[in-house]
Amino acid sequence: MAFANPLALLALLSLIPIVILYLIKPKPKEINIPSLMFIMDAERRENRYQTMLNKIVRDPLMLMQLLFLILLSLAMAAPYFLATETVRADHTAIILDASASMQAEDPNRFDLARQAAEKFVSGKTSIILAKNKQIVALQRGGRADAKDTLRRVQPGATIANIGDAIILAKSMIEGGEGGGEKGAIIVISDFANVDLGAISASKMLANAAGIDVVYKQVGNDADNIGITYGRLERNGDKYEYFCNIKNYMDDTKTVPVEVFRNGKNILGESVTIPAHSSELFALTDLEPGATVVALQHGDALSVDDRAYIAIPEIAKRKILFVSENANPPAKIAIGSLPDTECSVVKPPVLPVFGDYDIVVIGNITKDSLLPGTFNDLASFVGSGGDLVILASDGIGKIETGGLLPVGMRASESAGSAVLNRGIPTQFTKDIAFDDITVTRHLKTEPLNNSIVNADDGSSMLVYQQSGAGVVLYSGFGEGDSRWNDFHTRVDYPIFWRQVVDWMSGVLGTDEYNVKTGRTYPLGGEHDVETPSGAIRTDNLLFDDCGGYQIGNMDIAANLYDPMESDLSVSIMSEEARTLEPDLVKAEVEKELWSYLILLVMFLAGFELYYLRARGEL
Amino acid sequence: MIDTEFFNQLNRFSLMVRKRVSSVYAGSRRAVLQGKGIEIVGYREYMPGDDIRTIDWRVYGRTEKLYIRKFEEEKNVTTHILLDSSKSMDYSSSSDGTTKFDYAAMLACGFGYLVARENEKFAISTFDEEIDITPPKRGRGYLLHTIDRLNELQLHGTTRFDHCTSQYSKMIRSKSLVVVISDFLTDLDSIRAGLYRLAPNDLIVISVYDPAEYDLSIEGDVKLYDMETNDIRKTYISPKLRQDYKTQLDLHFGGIRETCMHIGADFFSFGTDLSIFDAFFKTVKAR
Repeated sequence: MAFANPLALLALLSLIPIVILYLIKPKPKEINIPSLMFIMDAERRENRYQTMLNKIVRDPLMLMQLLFLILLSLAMAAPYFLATETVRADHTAIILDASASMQAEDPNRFDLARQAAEKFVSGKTSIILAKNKQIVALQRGGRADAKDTLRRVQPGATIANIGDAIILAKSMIEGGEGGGEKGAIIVISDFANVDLGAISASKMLANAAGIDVVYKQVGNDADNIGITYGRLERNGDKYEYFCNIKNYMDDTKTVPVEVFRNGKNILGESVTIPAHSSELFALTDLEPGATVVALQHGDALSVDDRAYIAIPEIAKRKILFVSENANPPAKIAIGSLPDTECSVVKPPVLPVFGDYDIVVIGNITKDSLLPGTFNDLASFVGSGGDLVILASDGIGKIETGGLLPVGMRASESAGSAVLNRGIPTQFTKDIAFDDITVTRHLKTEPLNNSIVNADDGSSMLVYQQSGAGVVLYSGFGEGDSRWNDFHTRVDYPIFWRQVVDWMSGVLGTDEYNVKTGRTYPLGGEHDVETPSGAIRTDNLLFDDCGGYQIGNMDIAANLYDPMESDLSVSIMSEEARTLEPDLVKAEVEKELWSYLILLVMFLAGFELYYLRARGEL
Repeated sequence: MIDTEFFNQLNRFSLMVRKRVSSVYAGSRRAVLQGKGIEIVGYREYMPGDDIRTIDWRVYGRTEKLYIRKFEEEKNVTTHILLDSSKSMDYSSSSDGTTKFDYAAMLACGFGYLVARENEKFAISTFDEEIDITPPKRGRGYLLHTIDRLNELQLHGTTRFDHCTSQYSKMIRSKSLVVVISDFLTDLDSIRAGLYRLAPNDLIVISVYDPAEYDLSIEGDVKLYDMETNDIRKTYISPKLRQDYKTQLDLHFGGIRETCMHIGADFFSFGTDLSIFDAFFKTVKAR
């Protein structure tokens, strides 16, 4: 016999005080009595088991208490022994569909899956939760571990990638010691919104490796109305949100919709949706903070009944634009951004840089700036400020003290160029650099980390970290038709908005409102508040619907998946619905703790009975 | 130690004996019962089994037939007091140290006092495993002698009630008043047998107990020594056991009471916390 939790045996030390207590118990009083015969008669009248117990041990209560503690300690140590039993296989990999549709109630599909999975638990069991990413909940665990894991696991709010889960299960079985064991993969799912093609392909791969793959289908058709799509858009200082509410039922339904902002009910409406149709629901003038759209009706799936919207609070960003020109296009683009205050200053006399978040150096000449200006800028950037240096004729002749992220080839300028994309960044997303016509540009040393470069290798867009701040070089200048037509294009202001947002740490609304299943690298371990509790991770998986908090950043995650919200179940086959495990002989762990707990409970009951029989209760 | 102070309080009592007598001491009614005595009331022909000492040989000389003399039963009442002197009577829980034997002996002497005052014969015999039979006598001097004897008596042994009553009943020659004073802590069958043996007499049965032994005011782990047999018993006195013990005692004394009712004897049960006067009052009142 072995113990799963041998440390619990330390609890046996509690026997010592009990024994000491009984050892130091005073001796019984010695009393002369004339009527001993009647006491003996009375004893004979007492329960014969009690009398027997009294004969066997001097103090039955002590024995019972010692036994109680011993059994309890042993139960805590979780003893088990290995026995040969008929189980499914040497190694069974159970894939549990943990997608959002498995949260469907009436009855709970995931509970059904759990119950079905318990039947397939073998001597060595691995459990994989199939979400959009696979989660190994148990690797080659014993029967007790498997049952414990099955009790613990919960479905997420993502889709399920069962095909990949089968491949993972196959590699786990193949990676087992010896490699000669009989393995089987059990897929337990409602098989709603799954890629059956991928599953079949994965099954064939597993079968080719000699691993049997069987399906167990759980769940029945269920009614649902859910939010299947949602989008947040910025409109100036305000935000607009619109979503689709879909009715999967066979008759028209009127659904009460309530909107909560920062926990306060701000709107209550009803939406009537015909059978198997969607209705658009829109909200305008949303303000920063957390907003929740809730469908107030009862259906089988609650995870799609709420849409969470996160709008960040953006502080006003102060930008200093240094240029010989009074109103260059770049300044106009920056000045039109919301939450932004842009000042244009003509050199050489410049204000204190520390009063600004971003400094943009526009069109300047060699003599424009006072000596030491770039030293001040270096201090500004080193202490966390951000600097944008725009290409201008004089830039190559100015000593920037290494602030410029790119080396200039003197003040050489080149003619037209075709632009190529280099490293993708957040601020160059959706900007069509390929369409920009460049008629003149500055020649720079070629760099590997260019974001956009010209066909002659010159960097057009590049940035570097400098101290706590960032320096961005833009070869497009501050907007001169003799150089390029970027400033005339529709995505010019978008480019500047993205640059300013990126520099000031503000992400796009899509970054704050994500679909479940997305992973978010945090670049190091961070504490994250998730809808299901606090976790510490370096790579966050949004697998629950609701609000997530990473430091000061609030992110809303929603299912937004019409396929996953569809709770209709296509019957795969009668075999898949009634599947029972094939049995083989295998060595399994037999747990004893439950029997010990029963014994403890019996002993506790018997002790109460004994005390009652003695008239002390 | 027997306290005789209470004798004065007994002067107002007289013991009514349920026996029809013709003696000057006991009333004017004539006895109709025939038995052992002095006055000849007639003759009848000898039948096998009759005491040959009662054959009147003078009549045989005249008639050549065997006739026996029939006597009037003795008129005077003799009071036989049987006092338990087994070791169990040595128990006391009271602060003044009055044992059950002290209490029982005072009751016995009280009866002796009442009888002596009527100039009747009485005897106080003690019994344990054997009975120490003392012959009935008259007079207060005999009572004082008996008190001295009881004061010096050492209590020992168990109680063999049946055996002792069997011994004693042989010396009761006519129907008498028999008073048995004991704690009756012995086998109920033995007590029944003894009581049935004494039943032909006018019988008063007095059970004496100590309140502590009835209430069993102890609990927890105890080592009990039996006062008579010196048996040792280690046990745990729980409330349930105490209740069962009381039930056993009640059943035991209920059995004695039932036997007494059956044979027409008076049964009294006195705790040693009851004053002797009250005990006498209850006894005499009942008669």
